[in-house]
Amino acid sequence: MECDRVKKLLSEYIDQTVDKPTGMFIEGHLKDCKDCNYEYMSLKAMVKELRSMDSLQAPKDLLDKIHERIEANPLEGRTGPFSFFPSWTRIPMELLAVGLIAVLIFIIFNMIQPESQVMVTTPAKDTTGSVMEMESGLEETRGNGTDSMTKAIKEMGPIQLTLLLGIKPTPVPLSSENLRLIVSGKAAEMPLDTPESGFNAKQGQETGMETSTYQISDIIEAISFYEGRLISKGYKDGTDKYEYIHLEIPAVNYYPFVEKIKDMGTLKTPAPDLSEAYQGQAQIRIQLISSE
Amino acid sequence: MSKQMNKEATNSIRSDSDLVKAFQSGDMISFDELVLRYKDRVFSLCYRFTGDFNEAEDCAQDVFFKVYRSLMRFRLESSFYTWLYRITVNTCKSRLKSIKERGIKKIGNMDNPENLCEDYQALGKGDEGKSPITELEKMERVRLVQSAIDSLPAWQKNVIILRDIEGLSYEEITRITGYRLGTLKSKLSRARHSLKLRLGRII
Repeated sequence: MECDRVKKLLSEYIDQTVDKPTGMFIEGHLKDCKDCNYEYMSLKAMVKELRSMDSLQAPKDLLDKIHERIEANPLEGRTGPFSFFPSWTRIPMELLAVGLIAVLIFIIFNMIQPESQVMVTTPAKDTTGSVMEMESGLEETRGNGTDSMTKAIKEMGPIQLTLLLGIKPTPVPLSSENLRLIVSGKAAEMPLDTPESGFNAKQGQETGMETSTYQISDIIEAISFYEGRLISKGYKDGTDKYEYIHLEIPAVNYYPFVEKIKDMGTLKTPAPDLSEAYQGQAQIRIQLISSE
Repeated sequence: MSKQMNKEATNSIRSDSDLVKAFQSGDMISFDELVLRYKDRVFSLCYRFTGDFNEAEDCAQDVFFKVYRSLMRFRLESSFYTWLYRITVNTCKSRLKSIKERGIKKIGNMDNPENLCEDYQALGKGDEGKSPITELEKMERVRLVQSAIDSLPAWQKNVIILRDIEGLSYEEITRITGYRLGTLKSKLSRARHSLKLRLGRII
């Protein structure tokens, strides 16, 4: 019905937001329809009345009351070191701060945990299931480690052991022959009576019964016995004395090897733990210090 | 933008956006300047929504307190006054809901016409140049219109106040309310017819 359509458009017609053809249509209808014209006049008068309503004045102490409220709720306003920065500046700054803290924690963690990291070569399976030899890398003691962690560990180098040779009291079997040799002060070659060792030790040459003296060859023999290999060895400048030995040994034989090393002298610092789940090769660098 | 706001924005030394940026840089005085610039508009809007002097005052405080808390995060993607009006409308809606839940009978309703006169005088609207009879007649008309507005549903009250009392354009109202233009026109038409029915022969 035409009147219904016109009544729906009256509001827009009053606001003069209808297009020209619609406006002409409404205008023509209002001339002919008294009801719609009355409706139009009533609405127009009402809108005029509403628009004539005065703007009101806020209480004069409104600002003071707002200040009181802000002061009573300081924590709901500005807080934090970056609160005075706009959000598009503050949020990146806060993220940057969190990032720096995380990096700092990571660095500190690595500084206090160097002994828990070891250098190893890892046989790893590729996606086709074949075994491939990884380049010498490092893995975290616990768990498998990630690429980033491996890289970080790689920078730490092999396990570092410092061995004080020949100052460890040894459980030398005190057979009558041994006792005779020690009392007489003569050098004696005595087989180490430990079935798992499989190599000989030279002991009691000059220091009497309190210490044993092992030779580098004993350590090399131990490496061989525990299925490891010697990577390199170094001499002290201007001498023929060994300064260090760099070796590689299967991880499964790591602990027995360390125990054997302990028989040859005293470790300056305890040997680090190696993950039991690890199946690769452990690289070890033994710094040798002679007791002589 | 309403006439008064245009006038305020152009006559002031610092624009709204300048004041907002100054506040975000730590200048607290800028906030006070914004309050002083818009307090009457905000209070007026609150009064039209609530129909009560005290409720409107509390409501206006709520609005500016919210502005204070949020101004740091305001990115000036819309104009300040649009943002302010949006906060005001939403705060008023919440307060109306609260009033309804508290079961408070508004002072300025039809049941208490005397209180409305007191309200109106408290608002500083008494015109000393006119005769007392004319002034009373005007106050009575305002009371009746305000009572009719109070009786509208919130969404109808919203569009009537923003369009017919505050004089905002359709575009400004769509930005404040989030309505699409067609929806706004439809709602406004229904709200006007509804209000006319309530006012009867008064106008």
